[in-house]
Amino acid sequence: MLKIKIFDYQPNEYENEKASQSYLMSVIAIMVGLPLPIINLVATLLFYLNNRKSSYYIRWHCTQALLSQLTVLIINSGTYYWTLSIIFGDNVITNSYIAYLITVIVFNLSEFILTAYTAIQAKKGKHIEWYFWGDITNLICKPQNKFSL
Amino acid sequence: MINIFLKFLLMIGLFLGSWFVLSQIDFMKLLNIEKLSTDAEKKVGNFVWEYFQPQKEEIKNEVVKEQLDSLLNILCVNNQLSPDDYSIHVIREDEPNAFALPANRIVFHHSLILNCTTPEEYCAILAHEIAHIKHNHVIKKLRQELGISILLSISQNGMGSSIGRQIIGLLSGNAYSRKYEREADKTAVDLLINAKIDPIHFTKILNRISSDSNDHLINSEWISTHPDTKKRCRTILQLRDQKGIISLQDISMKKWTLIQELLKSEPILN
Repeated sequence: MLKIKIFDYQPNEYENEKASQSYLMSVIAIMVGLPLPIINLVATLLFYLNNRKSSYYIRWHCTQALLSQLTVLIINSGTYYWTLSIIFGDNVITNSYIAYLITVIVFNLSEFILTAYTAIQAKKGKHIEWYFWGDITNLICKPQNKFSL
Repeated sequence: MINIFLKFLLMIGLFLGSWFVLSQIDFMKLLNIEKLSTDAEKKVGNFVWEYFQPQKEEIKNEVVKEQLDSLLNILCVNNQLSPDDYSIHVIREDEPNAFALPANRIVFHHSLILNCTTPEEYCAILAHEIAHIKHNHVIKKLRQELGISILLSISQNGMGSSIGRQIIGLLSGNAYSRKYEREADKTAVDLLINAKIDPIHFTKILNRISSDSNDHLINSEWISTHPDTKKRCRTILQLRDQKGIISLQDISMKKWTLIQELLKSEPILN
């Protein structure tokens, strides 16, 4: 799921700090705005926009954090829509709904743990690429491209 | 690029696979959810009824009760429903109306029964109310209008008179959404045909109570809160034709006349 890789160049202390913060933003936002998954995304997006002119290393980690939050938002939106349709609409609680809820909780927990772990490692200067999200980040975040995404 | 696409498919597969495997577990049984919701509905139903009953004059005549129960039996037995699950209450009210309450209670105003010239017409309205119960429209409507938290608190701590009034108002005075009414009409037609009762009786009673010639019934709550009668009747007849009627039940008119006489003759009633 995670791979420690050697980055194109050796990032300095400041870059490590900023890269770590990009993940921490979503973790802190989870604590603040737990009932609304979009808060995590907005926090990460704001941090990304704030650092889009930063160095390649910072941008890379901001992008990976943003992409992972985007995925979580899509999955969680499904849960929100389904839950609201049960509370206010015609839907009822079914085995499929409970199974979806458990799957989403497991995915969210996994993402939370991976995010926290990556934040710690990034601060130590270790460049961690996530399975699939790391590849997408490599596709859209290039060293020359100052305004990726 | 292909590598990323394969990874993407793998992630989707992992998510959907986990969901599929987990959905094979019967959580509803494991967590006792169905029983919990049934119990909560019963409690809400009892609270609503305890609030409603003292304010109304319920007709408890044994003969009326027996005859109406026998009609309920006809509907239920032919539709694999248990008649014991439903309770019918007739209350003295001049406004023709019928409505379902939580915990499978069906309330008829006596004036609506008096307006049913045949037992089949009564069965049609009964089938419509049973359909609302069958589709869980009663609780769904309360959940939508009052919110799940109020329902949960009622099921745990009871309710105040203002909530009681609100619930009765919602269920007796306001129609369900058009979608629910269509669903109830459709199921009512199915229930009637299965019970070998011609759904044409449904259209007859609908037309009668909405008829302009019957001045005191123009504002009948049951009609005014339901979708357009002509359109409803058309749909009911279309459904009837689609389903087709094989044979018809012969329901005794004598008994129905007796019910009507008993309902009219006030002193004998209670």
